Amino acid sequence: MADLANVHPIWTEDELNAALADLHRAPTGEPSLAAARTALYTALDQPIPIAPEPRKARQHWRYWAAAAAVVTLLTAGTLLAQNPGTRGVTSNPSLGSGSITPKGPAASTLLRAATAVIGEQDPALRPGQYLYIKEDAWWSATINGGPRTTKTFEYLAENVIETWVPADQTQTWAQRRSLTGKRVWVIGTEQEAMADGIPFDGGWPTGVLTAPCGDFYPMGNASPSCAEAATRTGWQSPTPAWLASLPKDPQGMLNRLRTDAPNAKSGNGRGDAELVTYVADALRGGLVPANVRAVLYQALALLPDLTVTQRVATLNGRTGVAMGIDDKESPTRQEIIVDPVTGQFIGERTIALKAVPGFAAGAVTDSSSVTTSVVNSITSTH
Amino acid sequence: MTRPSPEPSGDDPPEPERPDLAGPDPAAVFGRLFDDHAAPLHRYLARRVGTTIADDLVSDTFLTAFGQRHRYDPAVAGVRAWLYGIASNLLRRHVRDEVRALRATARLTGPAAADGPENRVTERLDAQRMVARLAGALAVLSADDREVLLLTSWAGLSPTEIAQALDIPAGTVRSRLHRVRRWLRASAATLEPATTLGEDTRG
Repeated sequence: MADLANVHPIWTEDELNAALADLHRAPTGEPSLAAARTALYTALDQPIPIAPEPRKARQHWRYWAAAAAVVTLLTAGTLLAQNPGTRGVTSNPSLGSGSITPKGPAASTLLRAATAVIGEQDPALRPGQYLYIKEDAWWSATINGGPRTTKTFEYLAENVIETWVPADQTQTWAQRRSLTGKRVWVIGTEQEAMADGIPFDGGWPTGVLTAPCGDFYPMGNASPSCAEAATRTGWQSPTPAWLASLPKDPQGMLNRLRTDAPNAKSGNGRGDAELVTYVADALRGGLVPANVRAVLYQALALLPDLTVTQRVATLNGRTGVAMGIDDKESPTRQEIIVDPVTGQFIGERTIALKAVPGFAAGAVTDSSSVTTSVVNSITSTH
Repeated sequence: MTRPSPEPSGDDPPEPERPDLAGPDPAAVFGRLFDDHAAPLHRYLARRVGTTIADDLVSDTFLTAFGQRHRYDPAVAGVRAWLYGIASNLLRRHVRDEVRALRATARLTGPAAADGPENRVTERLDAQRMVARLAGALAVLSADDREVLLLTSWAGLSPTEIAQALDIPAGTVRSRLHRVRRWLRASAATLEPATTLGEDTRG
Protein backbone atom coordinates (compact mmCIF):
# COMPACT_ATOMS: atom_id res chain seq x y z
CA MET A 1 0.00 0.00 0.00
CA ALA A 2 1.29 3.42 -0.86
CA ASP A 3 2.37 5.65 1.92
CA LEU A 4 -0.62 7.89 2.03
CA ALA A 5 1.13 10.53 4.04
CA ASN A 6 3.34 11.18 1.05
CA VAL A 7 0.32 12.56 -0.72
CA HIS A 8 0.76 15.61 1.46
CA PRO A 9 4.45 16.42 1.81
CA ILE A 10 3.51 19.62 3.59
CA TRP A 11 0.35 19.99 5.55
CA THR A 12 -1.93 22.94 5.15
CA GLU A 13 -2.99 24.91 8.19
CA ASP A 14 -6.35 23.17 7.98
CA GLU A 15 -4.78 19.74 7.88
CA LEU A 16 -2.69 20.53 10.92
CA ASN A 17 -5.77 21.82 12.73
CA ALA A 18 -7.68 18.69 11.78
CA ALA A 19 -4.94 16.41 13.05
CA LEU A 20 -4.68 18.41 16.27
CA ALA A 21 -8.42 18.14 16.75
CA ASP A 22 -8.33 14.38 16.25
CA LEU A 23 -5.31 13.62 18.41
CA HIS A 24 -6.19 12.30 21.86
CA ARG A 25 -9.73 13.44 21.28
CA ALA A 26 -11.34 13.94 24.66
CA PRO A 27 -14.04 11.50 25.66
CA THR A 28 -17.48 12.96 25.52
CA GLY A 29 -19.40 13.42 28.72
CA GLU A 30 -18.60 15.18 31.93
CA PRO A 31 -15.33 14.25 33.60
CA SER A 32 -15.46 12.94 37.12
CA LEU A 33 -14.58 15.84 39.32
CA ALA A 34 -15.91 14.60 42.63
CA ALA A 35 -12.52 13.96 44.19
CA ALA A 36 -11.16 17.33 43.13
CA ARG A 37 -14.28 19.09 44.35
CA THR A 38 -14.06 17.34 47.70
CA ALA A 39 -10.41 18.27 48.07
CA LEU A 40 -11.13 21.91 47.29
CA TYR A 41 -14.06 22.18 49.64
CA THR A 42 -12.12 20.50 52.39
CA ALA A 43 -9.48 23.14 51.90
CA LEU A 44 -12.06 25.87 51.88
CA ASP A 45 -13.42 24.73 55.22
CA GLN A 46 -9.94 24.46 56.64
CA PRO A 47 -7.98 27.07 54.78
CA ILE A 48 -4.47 26.10 53.85
CA PRO A 49 -2.12 28.31 55.82
CA ILE A 50 -0.48 30.82 53.60
CA ALA A 51 3.09 31.95 53.98
CA PRO A 52 3.94 33.25 57.47
CA GLU A 53 3.73 36.80 56.31
CA PRO A 54 0.77 36.93 53.97
CA ARG A 55 1.61 39.24 51.17
CA LYS A 56 -0.30 40.16 48.13
CA ALA A 57 2.83 40.84 46.25
CA ARG A 58 2.72 39.81 42.70
CA GLN A 59 5.75 40.62 40.74
CA HIS A 60 5.84 40.73 37.03
CA TRP A 61 7.57 37.37 37.01
CA ARG A 62 5.57 35.32 39.37
CA TYR A 63 7.08 31.92 39.69
CA TRP A 64 10.50 30.51 39.46
CA ALA A 65 9.39 27.94 36.97
CA ALA A 66 7.79 30.52 34.80
CA ALA A 67 10.77 32.75 35.18
CA ALA A 68 13.03 29.96 34.04
CA ALA A 69 10.95 29.59 30.92
CA VAL A 70 11.24 33.27 30.22
CA VAL A 71 14.92 33.24 30.86
CA THR A 72 15.30 30.43 28.39
CA LEU A 73 13.81 32.64 25.76
CA LEU A 74 15.34 35.91 26.68
CA THR A 75 18.79 34.91 27.63
CA ALA A 76 19.98 31.35 27.61
CA GLY A 77 18.48 30.58 24.26
CA THR A 78 20.39 33.30 22.59
CA LEU A 79 23.61 32.13 24.13
CA LEU A 80 23.72 28.84 22.33
CA ALA A 81 25.60 30.10 19.35
CA GLN A 82 29.00 28.61 18.89
CA ASN A 83 30.83 31.53 17.44
CA PRO A 84 32.10 33.27 20.52
CA GLY A 85 30.76 36.71 20.26
CA THR A 86 31.04 39.59 17.99
CA ARG A 87 31.60 42.75 19.90
CA GLY A 88 33.88 41.09 22.30
CA VAL A 89 37.21 42.51 23.05
CA THR A 90 36.73 46.12 22.22
CA SER A 91 35.55 48.22 25.05
CA ASN A 92 32.70 50.20 23.69
CA PRO A 93 33.69 53.66 22.63
CA SER A 94 30.85 56.02 23.24
CA LEU A 95 29.73 58.30 20.52
CA GLY A 96 30.37 61.89 21.24
CA SER A 97 26.99 63.49 21.30
CA GLY A 98 27.88 65.76 18.43
CA SER A 99 29.68 63.22 16.31
CA ILE A 100 26.70 61.84 14.45
CA THR A 101 24.22 63.70 12.37
CA PRO A 102 22.16 61.15 10.50
CA LYS A 103 19.56 63.02 8.57
CA GLY A 104 17.94 60.41 6.44
CA PRO A 105 15.85 57.39 7.25
CA ALA A 106 17.17 54.56 9.33
CA ALA A 107 18.78 53.12 6.23
CA SER A 108 21.76 55.43 6.25
CA THR A 109 22.47 54.69 9.91
CA LEU A 110 22.11 50.97 9.47
CA LEU A 111 24.20 50.79 6.34
CA ARG A 112 26.91 52.77 8.06
CA ALA A 113 26.78 50.39 11.00
CA ALA A 114 26.88 47.41 8.65
CA THR A 115 29.97 48.78 6.92
CA ALA A 116 31.68 49.16 10.28
CA VAL A 117 30.77 45.61 11.24
CA ILE A 118 32.07 44.12 8.02
CA GLY A 119 35.59 45.10 9.02
CA GLU A 120 35.22 43.75 12.52
CA GLN A 121 36.89 40.59 13.74
CA ASP A 122 35.05 38.29 16.07
CA PRO A 123 37.11 37.92 19.22
CA ALA A 124 39.24 34.81 19.30
CA LEU A 125 39.29 33.04 22.63
CA ARG A 126 42.35 31.15 23.74
CA PRO A 127 41.77 27.86 25.51
CA GLY A 128 40.70 28.59 29.05
CA GLN A 129 39.35 32.02 28.22
CA TYR A 130 35.72 32.99 28.38
CA LEU A 131 33.53 35.41 26.54
CA TYR A 132 31.84 37.48 29.21
CA ILE A 133 28.41 38.75 28.19
CA LYS A 134 26.63 41.16 30.45
CA GLU A 135 23.01 42.03 29.90
CA ASP A 136 21.72 44.97 31.87
CA ALA A 137 17.94 44.99 31.84
CA TRP A 138 15.29 47.12 33.44
CA TRP A 139 12.16 45.07 33.98
CA SER A 140 8.94 46.10 35.61
CA ALA A 141 7.30 44.65 38.71
CA THR A 142 3.73 45.36 39.70
CA ILE A 143 2.57 44.86 43.27
CA ASN A 144 -1.10 44.98 44.02
CA GLY A 145 -1.66 45.76 47.65
CA GLY A 146 0.12 44.52 50.72
CA PRO A 147 -0.47 43.77 54.37
CA ARG A 148 -1.64 47.30 55.08
CA THR A 149 -2.86 48.66 51.77
CA THR A 150 -4.74 47.87 48.61
CA LYS A 151 -2.79 50.39 46.56
CA THR A 152 -0.95 49.38 43.44
CA PHE A 153 2.76 49.93 43.09
CA GLU A 154 4.93 49.50 40.09
CA TYR A 155 8.63 49.92 39.63
CA LEU A 156 11.38 49.13 37.20
CA ALA A 157 14.26 47.18 38.66
CA GLU A 158 17.72 46.70 37.26
CA ASN A 159 18.47 43.06 36.57
CA VAL A 160 21.93 41.94 35.53
CA ILE A 161 22.46 38.67 33.71
CA GLU A 162 26.11 37.75 33.28
CA THR A 163 27.15 34.80 31.18
CA TRP A 164 30.54 33.21 30.73
CA VAL A 165 30.95 31.26 27.50
CA PRO A 166 33.99 28.97 27.32
CA ALA A 167 36.23 28.85 24.26
CA ASP A 168 35.03 25.29 23.78
CA GLN A 169 31.31 25.78 24.09
CA THR A 170 30.68 22.16 24.94
CA GLN A 171 32.42 22.86 28.23
CA THR A 172 30.77 24.38 31.24
CA TRP A 173 29.21 27.80 30.98
CA ALA A 174 28.17 29.90 33.94
CA GLN A 175 25.40 32.38 34.36
CA ARG A 176 24.87 34.75 37.26
CA ARG A 177 21.61 36.61 37.68
CA SER A 178 21.38 39.43 40.17
CA LEU A 179 19.42 42.49 41.15
CA THR A 180 21.45 45.63 41.62
CA GLY A 181 18.91 47.12 44.02
CA LYS A 182 18.39 50.09 41.73
CA ARG A 183 14.74 50.87 41.27
CA VAL A 184 12.75 53.49 39.45
CA TRP A 185 9.27 53.89 40.82
CA VAL A 186 6.56 54.10 38.23
CA ILE A 187 3.47 54.02 40.42
CA GLY A 188 3.97 55.04 44.04
CA THR A 189 7.23 55.84 45.78
CA GLU A 190 9.74 53.81 47.73
CA GLN A 191 8.76 55.71 50.91
CA GLU A 192 5.08 54.90 50.40
CA ALA A 193 5.89 51.30 49.67
CA MET A 194 7.96 50.97 52.84
CA ALA A 195 5.29 52.69 54.91
CA ASP A 196 2.67 50.32 53.54
CA GLY A 197 4.82 47.25 54.15
CA ILE A 198 5.15 46.49 50.46
CA PRO A 199 7.93 44.04 49.70
CA PHE A 200 10.11 45.06 46.83
CA ASP A 201 12.72 42.39 46.80
CA GLY A 202 11.72 41.54 43.25
CA GLY A 203 10.39 38.23 42.04
CA TRP A 204 13.21 37.56 39.69
CA PRO A 205 15.45 34.57 39.96
CA THR A 206 18.94 35.25 41.24
CA GLY A 207 21.98 33.07 41.72
CA VAL A 208 24.56 31.20 39.70
CA LEU A 209 23.88 28.37 37.28
CA THR A 210 26.32 26.23 35.33
CA ALA A 211 25.70 24.02 32.30
CA PRO A 212 27.41 22.75 29.16
CA CYS A 213 26.44 24.57 25.95
CA GLY A 214 24.63 27.18 28.02
CA ASP A 215 21.78 24.77 28.67
CA PHE A 216 20.90 26.45 31.95
CA TYR A 217 17.19 25.80 31.73
CA PRO A 218 16.56 22.32 30.35
CA MET A 219 12.96 21.41 29.79
CA GLY A 220 11.03 18.91 31.81
CA ASN A 221 13.16 16.31 33.48
CA ALA A 222 16.05 16.68 31.09
CA SER A 223 19.56 17.21 32.40
CA PRO A 224 21.54 20.12 31.01
CA SER A 225 23.35 18.91 27.91
CA CYS A 226 24.49 20.10 24.52
CA ALA A 227 21.99 17.79 22.86
CA GLU A 228 19.18 19.26 24.88
CA ALA A 229 20.36 22.76 24.10
CA ALA A 230 20.44 21.97 20.39
CA THR A 231 16.76 21.08 20.32
CA ARG A 232 15.85 24.75 20.37
CA THR A 233 17.13 26.98 17.67
CA GLY A 234 16.00 30.04 15.80
CA TRP A 235 15.99 33.78 16.27
CA GLN A 236 15.36 33.40 19.97
CA SER A 237 18.01 30.73 20.43
CA PRO A 238 20.51 30.87 17.58
CA THR A 239 22.81 27.88 17.36
CA PRO A 240 25.96 28.04 15.24
CA ALA A 241 24.40 25.83 12.59
CA TRP A 242 21.33 27.98 12.49
CA LEU A 243 23.35 31.18 12.24
CA ALA A 244 25.37 29.68 9.41
CA SER A 245 22.18 28.81 7.58
CA LEU A 246 20.95 32.40 7.37
CA PRO A 247 20.95 34.10 3.97
CA LYS A 248 24.05 36.09 3.13
CA ASP A 249 22.30 38.90 1.25
CA PRO A 250 20.06 41.63 2.73
CA GLN A 251 16.92 40.87 0.74
CA GLY A 252 17.29 37.17 1.43
CA MET A 253 17.72 37.91 5.12
CA LEU A 254 14.64 40.12 5.16
CA ASN A 255 12.66 37.43 3.37
CA ARG A 256 13.85 34.93 5.94
CA LEU A 257 12.79 37.25 8.75
CA ARG A 258 9.37 37.66 7.23
CA THR A 259 9.07 33.92 6.80
CA ASP A 260 10.12 33.11 10.35
CA ALA A 261 8.33 35.87 12.23
CA PRO A 262 4.60 35.56 12.64
CA ASN A 263 2.70 37.49 10.02
CA ALA A 264 -0.81 38.90 10.18
CA LYS A 265 -2.26 35.56 9.14
CA SER A 266 -0.53 33.68 11.92
CA GLY A 267 -1.54 35.99 14.68
CA ASN A 268 0.92 38.85 14.56
CA GLY A 269 -0.83 42.17 14.86
CA ARG A 270 2.34 44.13 15.54
CA GLY A 271 3.35 44.64 11.95
CA ASP A 272 7.05 45.03 11.21
CA ALA A 273 7.73 45.84 14.87
CA GLU A 274 7.78 42.06 15.21
CA LEU A 275 10.73 41.86 12.83
CA VAL A 276 12.68 44.33 14.94
CA THR A 277 11.90 42.20 17.98
CA TYR A 278 13.21 39.13 16.19
CA VAL A 279 16.48 40.81 15.29
CA ALA A 280 16.84 42.12 18.84
CA ASP A 281 16.16 38.62 20.17
CA ALA A 282 19.06 37.28 18.17
CA LEU A 283 21.46 40.14 18.90
CA ARG A 284 20.68 40.36 22.62
CA GLY A 285 22.54 37.15 23.37
CA GLY A 286 25.83 38.59 22.22
CA LEU A 287 26.88 35.63 20.09
CA VAL A 288 25.89 36.63 16.56
CA PRO A 289 29.05 36.77 14.40
CA ALA A 290 29.98 40.05 12.75
CA ASN A 291 29.25 38.86 9.23
CA VAL A 292 25.72 37.85 10.20
CA ARG A 293 25.17 41.07 12.11
CA ALA A 294 26.17 43.14 9.09
CA VAL A 295 23.58 41.41 6.91
CA LEU A 296 20.96 41.84 9.62
CA TYR A 297 21.56 45.58 9.66
CA GLN A 298 21.39 45.71 5.87
CA ALA A 299 18.14 43.76 5.96
CA LEU A 300 16.62 46.13 8.52
CA ALA A 301 17.64 49.02 6.29
CA LEU A 302 15.14 47.70 3.76
CA LEU A 303 12.21 48.12 6.15
CA PRO A 304 10.11 51.03 4.91
CA ASP A 305 8.75 51.97 8.34
CA LEU A 306 11.92 51.76 10.39
CA THR A 307 12.88 55.31 11.26
CA VAL A 308 15.48 57.04 13.36
CA THR A 309 13.64 58.06 16.49
CA GLN A 310 16.49 59.54 18.50
CA ARG A 311 19.85 60.49 17.11
CA VAL A 312 21.62 60.45 20.44
CA ALA A 313 20.06 57.79 22.60
CA THR A 314 21.71 56.68 25.81
CA LEU A 315 21.12 53.24 27.22
CA ASN A 316 22.87 52.24 30.44
CA GLY A 317 25.53 54.83 29.83
CA ARG A 318 26.22 53.97 26.21
CA THR A 319 25.14 56.06 23.29
CA GLY A 320 23.91 55.24 19.83
CA VAL A 321 21.16 55.88 17.37
CA ALA A 322 17.67 54.67 18.27
CA MET A 323 15.58 53.26 15.46
CA GLY A 324 12.10 51.93 15.84
CA ILE A 325 8.79 50.93 14.41
CA ASP A 326 5.43 51.64 16.01
CA ASP A 327 3.73 48.54 17.28
CA LYS A 328 0.42 48.24 15.48
CA GLU A 329 -1.06 46.28 18.34
CA SER A 330 -0.29 48.42 21.36
CA PRO A 331 0.60 52.08 21.81
CA THR A 332 4.29 51.36 22.02
CA ARG A 333 7.31 51.49 19.78
CA GLN A 334 9.91 48.74 19.56
CA GLU A 335 13.38 50.21 19.23
CA ILE A 336 16.92 49.04 18.80
CA ILE A 337 19.92 51.18 19.55
CA VAL A 338 23.00 50.79 17.39
CA ASP A 339 26.29 52.60 17.37
CA PRO A 340 26.65 53.50 13.70
CA VAL A 341 30.37 54.20 14.04
CA THR A 342 31.38 50.82 15.43
CA GLY A 343 28.33 48.87 14.34
CA GLN A 344 27.80 47.66 17.87
CA PHE A 345 24.36 46.59 18.93
CA ILE A 346 23.87 48.51 22.16
CA GLY A 347 20.45 47.26 23.12
CA GLU A 348 16.75 47.64 22.77
CA ARG A 349 13.93 49.42 24.50
CA THR A 350 10.20 49.94 24.39
CA ILE A 351 8.70 53.40 24.30
CA ALA A 352 5.17 54.34 25.39
CA LEU A 353 3.54 56.26 22.57
CA LYS A 354 0.75 57.58 24.72
CA ALA A 355 0.39 58.21 28.42
CA VAL A 356 -0.58 55.16 30.47
CA PRO A 357 -0.68 54.91 34.27
CA GLY A 358 2.82 55.55 35.49
CA PHE A 359 4.28 56.35 32.11
CA ALA A 360 4.14 59.59 30.17
CA ALA A 361 4.04 59.48 26.42
CA GLY A 362 7.58 58.95 25.22
CA ALA A 363 8.75 57.19 28.39
CA VAL A 364 10.91 54.08 28.24
CA THR A 365 8.85 51.19 29.66
CA ASP A 366 11.62 48.59 29.57
CA SER A 367 15.10 48.30 28.19
CA SER A 368 18.03 45.98 27.89
CA SER A 369 21.62 46.51 26.86
CA VAL A 370 24.44 44.09 26.21
CA THR A 371 28.22 44.26 26.44
CA THR A 372 30.82 41.59 25.87
CA SER A 373 34.48 41.16 26.71
CA VAL A 374 37.05 38.41 27.00
CA VAL A 375 38.05 37.26 30.47
CA ASN A 376 40.50 34.67 31.73
CA SER A 377 38.37 32.83 34.22
CA ILE A 378 34.81 31.93 34.91
CA THR A 379 32.95 34.49 37.05
CA SER A 380 35.61 37.12 36.54
CA THR A 381 34.27 40.27 34.97
CA HIS A 382 37.34 41.96 33.56
CA MET B 1 -9.66 44.95 16.51
CA THR B 2 -9.88 41.50 15.07
CA ARG B 3 -7.20 39.76 13.21
CA PRO B 4 -7.38 36.82 10.86
CA SER B 5 -5.93 33.84 12.61
CA PRO B 6 -5.87 30.12 11.98
CA GLU B 7 -6.24 29.56 15.69
CA PRO B 8 -9.53 28.75 17.29
CA SER B 9 -9.36 31.87 19.37
CA GLY B 10 -8.33 35.35 18.43
CA ASP B 11 -6.13 37.57 20.47
CA ASP B 12 -8.88 39.80 21.68
CA PRO B 13 -11.30 37.65 23.64
CA PRO B 14 -14.10 39.14 25.65
CA GLU B 15 -12.83 40.89 28.74
CA PRO B 16 -11.56 38.01 30.87
CA GLU B 17 -13.01 37.23 34.23
CA ARG B 18 -10.96 38.81 37.01
CA PRO B 19 -12.52 38.01 40.39
CA ASP B 20 -11.08 39.14 43.69
CA LEU B 21 -9.79 35.81 44.95
CA ALA B 22 -8.42 37.24 48.17
CA GLY B 23 -11.76 38.64 49.31
CA PRO B 24 -13.60 37.76 52.50
CA ASP B 25 -15.64 34.90 51.07
CA PRO B 26 -13.24 32.50 49.37
CA ALA B 27 -15.69 29.59 49.54
CA ALA B 28 -18.16 31.31 47.25
CA VAL B 29 -15.51 32.61 44.88
CA PHE B 30 -13.68 29.31 44.59
CA GLY B 31 -16.87 27.31 44.36
CA ARG B 32 -17.85 29.31 41.33
CA LEU B 33 -14.34 29.15 39.92
CA PHE B 34 -14.43 25.38 40.18
CA ASP B 35 -17.85 25.14 38.56
CA ASP B 36 -16.78 27.32 35.67
CA HIS B 37 -13.33 25.98 34.95
CA ALA B 38 -12.78 22.49 36.39
CA ALA B 39 -14.49 20.53 33.62
CA PRO B 40 -12.80 22.21 30.64
CA LEU B 41 -9.48 22.12 32.49
CA HIS B 42 -9.93 18.40 33.09
CA ARG B 43 -10.74 17.73 29.45
CA TYR B 44 -7.64 19.64 28.40
CA LEU B 45 -5.36 17.87 30.87
CA ALA B 46 -6.85 14.47 30.04
CA ARG B 47 -5.91 14.96 26.39
CA ARG B 48 -2.37 15.67 27.46
CA VAL B 49 -1.66 13.12 30.16
CA GLY B 50 -4.75 10.89 30.43
CA THR B 51 -7.70 11.01 32.78
CA THR B 52 -5.99 9.46 35.79
CA ILE B 53 -3.27 12.07 36.03
CA ALA B 54 -5.75 14.75 34.99
CA ASP B 55 -7.89 13.90 38.03
CA ASP B 56 -4.96 14.69 40.31
CA LEU B 57 -3.85 17.74 38.36
CA VAL B 58 -7.27 19.38 38.45
CA SER B 59 -7.42 18.83 42.19
CA ASP B 60 -3.89 20.14 42.68
CA THR B 61 -4.53 23.14 40.44
CA PHE B 62 -7.45 24.35 42.51
CA LEU B 63 -5.73 23.61 45.80
CA THR B 64 -2.69 25.53 44.63
CA ALA B 65 -4.86 28.38 43.39
CA PHE B 66 -6.58 28.55 46.74
CA GLY B 67 -3.30 28.47 48.64
CA GLN B 68 -1.87 31.19 46.43
CA ARG B 69 -5.01 33.28 46.12
CA HIS B 70 -3.30 36.30 47.63
CA ARG B 71 -0.80 36.19 44.81
CA TYR B 72 -3.44 36.48 42.13
CA ASP B 73 -3.52 39.97 40.70
CA PRO B 74 -6.65 40.70 38.67
CA ALA B 75 -4.83 43.57 37.01
CA VAL B 76 -2.21 41.27 35.55
CA ALA B 77 -4.11 38.25 34.30
CA GLY B 78 -7.57 36.88 33.81
CA VAL B 79 -8.36 34.12 36.23
CA ARG B 80 -8.59 31.47 33.52
CA ALA B 81 -5.07 32.29 32.34
CA TRP B 82 -3.88 32.18 35.93
CA LEU B 83 -5.43 28.75 36.54
CA TYR B 84 -3.94 27.32 33.35
CA GLY B 85 -0.60 28.78 34.34
CA ILE B 86 -0.75 26.86 37.60
CA ALA B 87 -1.85 23.72 35.75
CA SER B 88 1.01 24.14 33.27
CA ASN B 89 3.50 24.29 36.10
CA LEU B 90 2.06 21.14 37.64
CA LEU B 91 1.98 19.44 34.26
CA ARG B 92 5.73 19.78 33.98
CA ARG B 93 6.15 16.92 36.41
CA HIS B 94 4.45 14.70 33.87
CA VAL B 95 6.37 15.49 30.73
CA ARG B 96 7.58 11.92 30.51
CA ASP B 97 4.06 10.56 30.80
CA GLU B 98 2.92 12.85 28.06
CA VAL B 99 5.76 11.97 25.72
CA ARG B 100 5.21 8.28 26.39
CA ALA B 101 1.55 8.59 25.45
CA LEU B 102 2.37 10.53 22.30
CA ARG B 103 4.87 7.89 21.25
CA ALA B 104 2.29 5.19 21.83
CA THR B 105 -0.14 7.07 19.61
CA ALA B 106 2.56 7.53 17.02
CA ARG B 107 2.95 3.77 16.74
CA LEU B 108 -0.76 3.31 16.04
CA THR B 109 -0.91 3.47 12.30
CA GLY B 110 -4.28 1.74 12.37
CA PRO B 111 -5.66 -1.16 10.35
CA ALA B 112 -7.46 -0.56 7.10
CA ALA B 113 -11.14 -0.01 7.56
CA ALA B 114 -13.24 -2.36 5.48
CA ASP B 115 -16.47 -0.50 5.16
CA GLY B 116 -17.56 2.45 3.12
CA PRO B 117 -16.71 3.64 -0.34
CA GLU B 118 -13.09 3.50 -1.31
CA ASN B 119 -12.47 7.21 -1.02
CA ARG B 120 -13.89 7.35 2.46
CA VAL B 121 -11.61 4.57 3.56
CA THR B 122 -8.69 6.47 2.11
CA GLU B 123 -9.69 9.61 3.92
CA ARG B 124 -9.99 7.80 7.20
CA LEU B 125 -6.67 6.06 6.81
CA ASP B 126 -5.07 9.33 5.90
CA ALA B 127 -6.51 10.98 8.98
CA GLN B 128 -5.29 8.14 11.19
CA ARG B 129 -1.88 8.36 9.65
CA MET B 130 -1.79 12.10 10.12
CA VAL B 131 -2.73 11.84 13.78
CA ALA B 132 -0.01 9.24 14.33
CA ARG B 133 2.56 11.40 12.63
CA LEU B 134 1.45 14.47 14.51
CA ALA B 135 1.78 12.57 17.78
CA GLY B 136 5.31 11.54 16.85
CA ALA B 137 6.20 15.11 16.00
CA LEU B 138 4.68 16.47 19.20
CA ALA B 139 6.72 13.96 21.17
CA VAL B 140 9.96 15.55 19.99
CA LEU B 141 8.89 19.15 20.49
CA SER B 142 10.34 20.95 23.47
CA ALA B 143 7.99 21.07 26.42
CA ASP B 144 7.67 24.83 26.04
CA ASP B 145 6.72 24.61 22.40
CA ARG B 146 4.18 21.89 23.09
CA GLU B 147 2.73 23.97 25.90
CA VAL B 148 2.04 27.00 23.73
CA LEU B 149 0.65 24.92 20.87
CA LEU B 150 -1.72 22.85 22.97
CA LEU B 151 -2.84 25.70 25.21
CA THR B 152 -3.91 27.30 21.96
CA SER B 153 -5.37 24.34 20.12
CA TRP B 154 -6.79 22.27 22.96
CA ALA B 155 -7.46 24.73 25.76
CA GLY B 156 -8.51 27.53 23.44
CA LEU B 157 -6.44 30.18 25.18
CA SER B 158 -5.58 33.33 23.27
CA PRO B 159 -1.94 34.40 22.87
CA THR B 160 -2.57 37.09 25.46
CA GLU B 161 -3.90 34.56 27.94
CA ILE B 162 -1.01 32.20 27.28
CA ALA B 163 1.41 35.06 27.83
CA GLN B 164 -0.26 35.69 31.18
CA ALA B 165 -0.37 31.99 32.05
CA LEU B 166 3.28 31.31 31.27
CA ASP B 167 4.57 34.78 32.10
CA ILE B 168 6.23 35.32 28.78
CA PRO B 169 5.71 38.19 26.33
CA ALA B 170 2.68 37.87 24.07
CA GLY B 171 4.94 38.48 21.11
CA THR B 172 7.00 35.48 22.14
CA VAL B 173 3.87 33.35 22.32
CA ARG B 174 2.91 34.31 18.79
CA SER B 175 6.44 33.79 17.53
CA ARG B 176 6.71 30.40 19.13
CA LEU B 177 3.29 29.33 17.94
CA HIS B 178 4.07 30.37 14.42
CA ARG B 179 7.40 28.60 14.42
CA VAL B 180 5.99 25.41 15.90
CA ARG B 181 3.08 25.26 13.49
CA ARG B 182 5.33 25.83 10.53
CA TRP B 183 7.68 23.11 11.71
CA LEU B 184 4.81 20.71 12.31
CA ARG B 185 3.30 21.34 8.90
CA ALA B 186 6.59 20.57 7.25
CA SER B 187 7.93 17.89 9.55
CA ALA B 188 4.94 15.97 10.75
CA ALA B 189 4.00 15.37 7.15
CA THR B 190 7.36 14.01 6.13
CA LEU B 191 9.04 12.48 9.16
CA GLU B 192 8.76 8.74 9.40
CA PRO B 193 7.39 7.57 12.72
CA ALA B 194 10.71 5.87 13.40
CA THR B 195 12.37 9.25 13.15
CA THR B 196 9.90 11.10 15.26
CA LEU B 197 9.93 8.39 17.86
CA GLY B 198 13.53 9.12 18.63
CA GLU B 199 15.90 6.63 20.13
CA ASP B 200 13.91 5.68 23.15
CA THR B 201 10.92 3.99 21.64
CA ARG B 202 10.17 2.27 24.90
CA GLY B 203 9.35 5.63 26.47
